Amino acid sequence: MEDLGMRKARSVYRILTEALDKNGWKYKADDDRITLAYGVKTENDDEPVTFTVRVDAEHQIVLLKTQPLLSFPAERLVEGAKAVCAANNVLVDGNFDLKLKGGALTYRQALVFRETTLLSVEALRFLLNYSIFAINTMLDKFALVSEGKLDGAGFCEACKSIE
Amino acid sequence: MDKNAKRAAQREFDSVCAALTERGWDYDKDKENYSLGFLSDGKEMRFSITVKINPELKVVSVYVILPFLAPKDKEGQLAVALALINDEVVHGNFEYDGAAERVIFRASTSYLDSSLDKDVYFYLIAAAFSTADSAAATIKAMCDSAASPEQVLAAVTR
Repeated sequence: MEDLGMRKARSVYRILTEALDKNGWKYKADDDRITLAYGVKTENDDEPVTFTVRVDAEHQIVLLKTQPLLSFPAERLVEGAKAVCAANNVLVDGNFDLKLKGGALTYRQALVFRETTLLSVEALRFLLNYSIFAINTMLDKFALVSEGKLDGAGFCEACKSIE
Repeated sequence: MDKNAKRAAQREFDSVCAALTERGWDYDKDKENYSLGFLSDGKEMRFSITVKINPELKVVSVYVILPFLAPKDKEGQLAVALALINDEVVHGNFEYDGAAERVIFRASTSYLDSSLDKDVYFYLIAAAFSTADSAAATIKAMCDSAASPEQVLAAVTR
Protein backbone atom coordinates (compact mmCIF):
# COMPACT_ATOMS: atom_id res chain seq x y z
CA MET A 1 0.00 0.00 0.00
CA GLU A 2 1.20 3.53 -0.81
CA ASP A 3 2.33 5.68 2.08
CA LEU A 4 0.56 8.92 2.96
CA GLY A 5 3.21 11.06 1.25
CA MET A 6 2.83 9.25 -2.07
CA ARG A 7 -0.96 9.35 -1.84
CA LYS A 8 -0.80 13.11 -1.27
CA ALA A 9 1.64 13.50 -4.17
CA ARG A 10 -0.77 11.64 -6.48
CA SER A 11 -3.64 13.85 -5.34
CA VAL A 12 -1.56 16.98 -6.10
CA TYR A 13 -0.70 15.45 -9.50
CA ARG A 14 -4.42 15.14 -10.27
CA ILE A 15 -4.92 18.83 -9.41
CA LEU A 16 -1.98 19.67 -11.67
CA THR A 17 -3.64 17.92 -14.62
CA GLU A 18 -6.84 19.87 -13.88
CA ALA A 19 -4.84 23.11 -13.95
CA LEU A 20 -3.39 22.22 -17.35
CA ASP A 21 -6.83 21.26 -18.66
CA LYS A 22 -8.22 24.58 -17.41
CA ASN A 23 -5.44 26.40 -19.29
CA GLY A 24 -6.34 24.35 -22.37
CA TRP A 25 -2.76 23.08 -22.67
CA LYS A 26 -2.09 19.61 -24.06
CA TYR A 27 0.42 17.55 -22.12
CA LYS A 28 2.13 14.19 -22.06
CA ALA A 29 1.56 12.43 -18.76
CA ASP A 30 3.76 9.83 -17.11
CA ASP A 31 1.42 8.76 -14.31
CA ASP A 32 3.88 6.27 -12.80
CA ARG A 33 6.54 8.95 -12.31
CA ILE A 34 3.88 11.61 -11.50
CA THR A 35 5.51 13.79 -14.11
CA LEU A 36 4.14 15.55 -17.14
CA ALA A 37 5.50 17.57 -20.02
CA TYR A 38 3.97 20.24 -22.24
CA GLY A 39 5.00 22.89 -24.71
CA VAL A 40 3.86 26.51 -24.76
CA LYS A 41 4.67 29.19 -27.30
CA THR A 42 6.12 32.28 -25.65
CA GLU A 43 6.01 35.85 -26.93
CA ASN A 44 9.68 35.75 -27.88
CA ASP A 45 9.89 32.61 -29.93
CA ASP A 46 8.00 30.75 -32.61
CA GLU A 47 9.16 27.45 -31.19
CA PRO A 48 7.28 26.28 -28.07
CA VAL A 49 9.16 26.11 -24.80
CA THR A 50 9.07 22.61 -23.30
CA PHE A 51 8.20 22.40 -19.61
CA THR A 52 8.43 19.40 -17.31
CA VAL A 53 6.47 19.38 -14.05
CA ARG A 54 7.15 16.65 -11.52
CA VAL A 55 5.43 16.08 -8.21
CA ASP A 56 8.31 15.18 -5.91
CA ALA A 57 6.81 12.99 -3.18
CA GLU A 58 10.08 12.88 -1.21
CA HIS A 59 10.57 16.66 -0.89
CA GLN A 60 6.81 17.31 -1.13
CA ILE A 61 7.12 19.94 -3.80
CA VAL A 62 5.79 20.41 -7.30
CA LEU A 63 8.83 21.19 -9.42
CA LEU A 64 8.56 22.96 -12.79
CA LYS A 65 11.58 23.12 -15.10
CA THR A 66 12.06 24.18 -18.70
CA GLN A 67 14.26 22.75 -21.37
CA PRO A 68 17.06 25.17 -22.34
CA LEU A 69 15.59 28.52 -23.41
CA LEU A 70 18.81 29.65 -25.08
CA SER A 71 22.55 29.08 -24.82
CA PHE A 72 25.17 31.66 -23.96
CA PRO A 73 28.40 31.33 -25.94
CA ALA A 74 31.49 30.77 -23.76
CA GLU A 75 32.67 34.37 -24.13
CA ARG A 76 29.29 35.72 -22.88
CA LEU A 77 28.96 33.44 -19.82
CA VAL A 78 30.10 36.00 -17.22
CA GLU A 79 27.66 38.64 -18.53
CA GLY A 80 25.01 35.92 -18.77
CA ALA A 81 25.59 34.96 -15.13
CA LYS A 82 25.27 38.63 -14.08
CA ALA A 83 22.02 38.90 -16.05
CA VAL A 84 20.62 35.77 -14.39
CA CYS A 85 21.38 37.24 -10.94
CA ALA A 86 19.67 40.52 -11.87
CA ALA A 87 16.63 38.75 -13.31
CA ASN A 88 16.19 36.53 -10.26
CA ASN A 89 16.45 39.55 -7.98
CA VAL A 90 13.27 41.07 -9.46
CA LEU A 91 11.18 37.89 -9.66
CA VAL A 92 8.77 37.15 -6.80
CA ASP A 93 8.69 33.42 -7.49
CA GLY A 94 10.84 31.04 -9.54
CA ASN A 95 14.30 31.62 -10.96
CA PHE A 96 16.48 31.29 -14.03
CA ASP A 97 19.46 28.91 -13.90
CA LEU A 98 22.60 29.02 -16.01
CA LYS A 99 24.59 25.87 -16.68
CA LEU A 100 28.19 27.01 -16.87
CA LYS A 101 29.15 23.97 -18.93
CA GLY A 102 27.47 24.60 -22.28
CA GLY A 103 25.81 27.89 -21.29
CA ALA A 104 22.19 26.65 -21.23
CA LEU A 105 19.64 29.00 -19.64
CA THR A 106 16.64 27.31 -18.01
CA TYR A 107 13.80 28.35 -15.69
CA ARG A 108 12.71 26.58 -12.48
CA GLN A 109 9.83 27.16 -10.05
CA ALA A 110 8.32 25.15 -7.19
CA LEU A 111 5.23 24.85 -5.05
CA VAL A 112 5.45 23.35 -1.57
CA PHE A 113 2.82 21.06 -0.03
CA ARG A 114 2.42 18.83 3.00
CA GLU A 115 -0.10 16.07 3.85
CA THR A 116 -2.50 18.58 5.42
CA THR A 117 -2.18 21.26 2.71
CA LEU A 118 -5.28 22.04 0.68
CA LEU A 119 -3.84 23.05 -2.69
CA SER A 120 -6.16 24.60 -5.26
CA VAL A 121 -6.21 24.30 -9.03
CA GLU A 122 -5.55 28.06 -9.06
CA ALA A 123 -2.29 27.67 -7.09
CA LEU A 124 -1.10 25.16 -9.69
CA ARG A 125 -2.24 27.51 -12.47
CA PHE A 126 -0.17 30.27 -10.84
CA LEU A 127 2.87 27.98 -11.09
CA LEU A 128 2.18 27.40 -14.79
CA ASN A 129 1.27 31.01 -15.62
CA TYR A 130 3.93 32.86 -13.61
CA SER A 131 6.63 30.81 -15.33
CA ILE A 132 5.32 32.00 -18.71
CA PHE A 133 5.22 35.60 -17.41
CA ALA A 134 8.85 35.37 -16.22
CA ILE A 135 10.04 33.92 -19.53
CA ASN A 136 8.01 36.38 -21.63
CA THR A 137 9.39 39.29 -19.60
CA MET A 138 13.05 38.29 -19.59
CA LEU A 139 13.91 36.07 -22.54
CA ASP A 140 14.35 38.80 -25.15
CA LYS A 141 16.75 40.63 -22.81
CA PHE A 142 18.72 37.42 -22.18
CA ALA A 143 18.96 36.98 -25.97
CA LEU A 144 20.50 40.46 -26.27
CA VAL A 145 23.09 39.58 -23.60
CA SER A 146 23.85 36.32 -25.37
CA GLU A 147 24.36 38.16 -28.69
CA GLY A 148 26.67 40.74 -27.09
CA LYS A 149 24.19 43.60 -27.58
CA LEU A 150 23.60 44.12 -23.85
CA ASP A 151 25.88 43.63 -20.85
CA GLY A 152 25.00 42.59 -17.28
CA ALA A 153 24.69 46.22 -16.14
CA GLY A 154 22.38 47.04 -19.06
CA PHE A 155 20.27 44.00 -18.26
CA CYS A 156 20.05 45.13 -14.63
CA GLU A 157 18.85 48.60 -15.75
CA ALA A 158 16.26 47.01 -18.04
CA CYS A 159 14.99 44.92 -15.10
CA LYS A 160 14.29 48.05 -13.06
CA SER A 161 11.27 48.82 -15.25
CA ILE A 162 9.78 45.45 -14.23
CA GLU A 163 10.01 46.03 -10.48
CA MET B 1 -6.37 45.52 -2.52
CA ASP B 2 -9.69 43.70 -2.16
CA LYS B 3 -11.00 42.34 1.12
CA ASN B 4 -10.54 38.71 0.15
CA ALA B 5 -6.88 39.24 -0.71
CA LYS B 6 -6.34 40.96 2.64
CA ARG B 7 -8.15 38.20 4.50
CA ALA B 8 -6.13 35.47 2.75
CA ALA B 9 -2.85 37.31 3.40
CA GLN B 10 -3.73 37.72 7.08
CA ARG B 11 -4.61 34.00 7.38
CA GLU B 12 -1.28 32.92 5.87
CA PHE B 13 0.63 35.51 7.91
CA ASP B 14 -0.94 34.08 11.07
CA SER B 15 0.15 30.58 9.98
CA VAL B 16 3.75 31.75 9.48
CA CYS B 17 3.72 33.39 12.93
CA ALA B 18 2.26 30.22 14.48
CA ALA B 19 4.95 28.05 12.84
CA LEU B 20 7.67 30.15 14.51
CA THR B 21 5.91 30.70 17.85
CA GLU B 22 5.28 26.95 18.25
CA ARG B 23 9.01 26.37 18.03
CA GLY B 24 9.81 29.15 20.46
CA TRP B 25 11.43 31.46 17.89
CA ASP B 26 11.37 35.22 18.52
CA TYR B 27 10.61 37.52 15.62
CA ASP B 28 9.64 41.10 14.80
CA LYS B 29 6.29 41.54 13.12
CA ASP B 30 5.32 44.16 10.55
CA LYS B 31 1.60 43.41 10.48
CA GLU B 32 0.72 46.13 7.95
CA ASN B 33 3.08 44.70 5.37
CA TYR B 34 2.47 41.03 6.24
CA SER B 35 6.16 40.65 6.95
CA LEU B 36 8.29 39.38 9.80
CA GLY B 37 11.98 39.12 10.51
CA PHE B 38 14.39 37.42 12.86
CA LEU B 39 18.05 36.49 13.25
CA SER B 40 19.31 32.92 13.19
CA ASP B 41 22.77 31.53 13.95
CA GLY B 42 24.35 29.34 11.33
CA LYS B 43 27.57 27.31 11.49
CA GLU B 44 29.80 30.38 11.22
CA MET B 45 27.54 33.37 10.69
CA ARG B 46 24.35 34.98 11.95
CA PHE B 47 21.72 35.42 9.23
CA SER B 48 18.88 37.88 8.92
CA ILE B 49 15.70 36.12 7.71
CA THR B 50 12.62 37.90 6.38
CA VAL B 51 9.32 36.21 5.54
CA LYS B 52 7.12 38.33 3.30
CA ILE B 53 3.61 37.79 1.98
CA ASN B 54 2.69 39.33 -1.36
CA PRO B 55 -1.11 39.77 -1.08
CA GLU B 56 -1.56 40.70 -4.75
CA LEU B 57 0.23 37.66 -6.19
CA LYS B 58 -0.61 35.47 -3.16
CA VAL B 59 2.95 34.30 -2.75
CA VAL B 60 4.96 33.78 0.43
CA SER B 61 8.70 34.37 0.12
CA VAL B 62 11.53 33.65 2.54
CA TYR B 63 14.63 35.83 2.13
CA VAL B 64 17.85 34.84 3.88
CA ILE B 65 20.33 37.73 3.70
CA LEU B 66 23.98 36.67 3.80
CA PRO B 67 25.71 38.71 6.51
CA PHE B 68 28.61 40.21 4.55
CA LEU B 69 29.11 42.87 1.95
CA ALA B 70 29.27 41.55 -1.61
CA PRO B 71 30.99 44.44 -3.38
CA LYS B 72 29.83 45.53 -6.80
CA ASP B 73 33.35 45.02 -8.19
CA LYS B 74 33.02 41.30 -7.39
CA GLU B 75 29.69 40.93 -9.18
CA GLY B 76 31.10 38.87 -12.07
CA GLN B 77 32.91 36.38 -9.82
CA LEU B 78 29.85 36.10 -7.57
CA ALA B 79 27.46 35.63 -10.48
CA VAL B 80 29.55 32.73 -11.81
CA ALA B 81 29.77 31.13 -8.35
CA LEU B 82 26.03 31.59 -7.71
CA ALA B 83 25.19 29.99 -11.07
CA LEU B 84 27.21 26.95 -10.05
CA ILE B 85 25.65 26.75 -6.58
CA ASN B 86 22.07 27.35 -7.80
CA ASP B 87 22.42 24.42 -10.16
CA GLU B 88 22.45 22.10 -7.12
CA VAL B 89 19.51 23.73 -5.31
CA VAL B 90 16.11 21.98 -5.49
CA HIS B 91 13.92 24.90 -4.44
CA GLY B 92 14.88 28.58 -4.35
CA ASN B 93 17.96 30.43 -5.52
CA PHE B 94 20.82 32.69 -4.52
CA GLU B 95 20.57 36.12 -6.14
CA TYR B 96 22.64 39.29 -6.09
CA ASP B 97 21.18 42.63 -5.05
CA GLY B 98 23.64 45.05 -6.65
CA ALA B 99 22.14 48.18 -5.05
CA ALA B 100 22.47 46.75 -1.54
CA GLU B 101 25.67 44.80 -2.38
CA ARG B 102 24.20 41.70 -0.77
CA VAL B 103 23.70 38.08 -1.71
CA ILE B 104 20.24 36.79 -0.79
CA PHE B 105 18.72 33.33 -0.84
CA ARG B 106 15.02 33.39 -1.78
CA ALA B 107 12.45 30.58 -1.75
CA SER B 108 8.75 31.18 -2.49
CA THR B 109 5.48 29.31 -2.75
CA SER B 110 1.97 30.29 -3.81
CA TYR B 111 -1.07 30.12 -1.52
CA LEU B 112 -3.61 31.17 -4.16
CA ASP B 113 -7.07 29.87 -3.15
CA SER B 114 -5.27 27.34 -0.96
CA SER B 115 -4.80 26.68 2.70
CA LEU B 116 -1.16 26.04 3.47
CA ASP B 117 -0.24 25.13 7.01
CA LYS B 118 2.41 25.71 9.62
CA ASP B 119 4.41 22.70 8.40
CA VAL B 120 4.77 24.19 4.92
CA TYR B 121 6.05 27.47 6.33
CA PHE B 122 8.40 25.81 8.77
CA TYR B 123 9.81 23.68 5.95
CA LEU B 124 10.19 26.73 3.68
CA ILE B 125 12.05 28.72 6.36
CA ALA B 126 14.19 25.81 7.58
CA ALA B 127 15.16 24.70 4.05
CA ALA B 128 16.03 28.26 2.98
CA PHE B 129 18.14 28.82 6.11
CA SER B 130 19.93 25.50 5.77
CA THR B 131 20.73 26.09 2.07
CA ALA B 132 22.03 29.61 2.77
CA ASP B 133 24.10 28.42 5.72
CA SER B 134 25.73 25.58 3.80
CA ALA B 135 26.87 27.84 0.92
CA ALA B 136 27.64 31.08 2.81
CA ALA B 137 31.32 30.36 3.51
CA THR B 138 32.00 29.55 -0.15
CA ILE B 139 30.23 32.72 -1.28
CA LYS B 140 32.12 34.79 1.31
CA ALA B 141 35.44 33.31 0.09
CA MET B 142 34.48 34.42 -3.42
CA CYS B 143 33.96 37.99 -2.18
CA ASP B 144 37.41 37.94 -0.55
CA SER B 145 39.16 36.29 -3.50
CA ALA B 146 41.42 38.15 -5.92
CA ALA B 147 40.46 35.85 -8.82
CA SER B 148 38.86 37.46 -11.88
CA PRO B 149 35.45 36.31 -13.17
CA GLU B 150 37.21 34.60 -16.07
CA GLN B 151 39.55 32.75 -13.71
CA VAL B 152 36.60 31.59 -11.58
CA LEU B 153 34.77 30.47 -14.70
CA ALA B 154 37.81 28.58 -15.97
CA ALA B 155 38.23 26.89 -12.58
CA VAL B 156 34.63 25.72 -12.31
CA THR B 157 34.24 24.57 -15.92
CA ARG B 158 37.58 22.74 -16.10
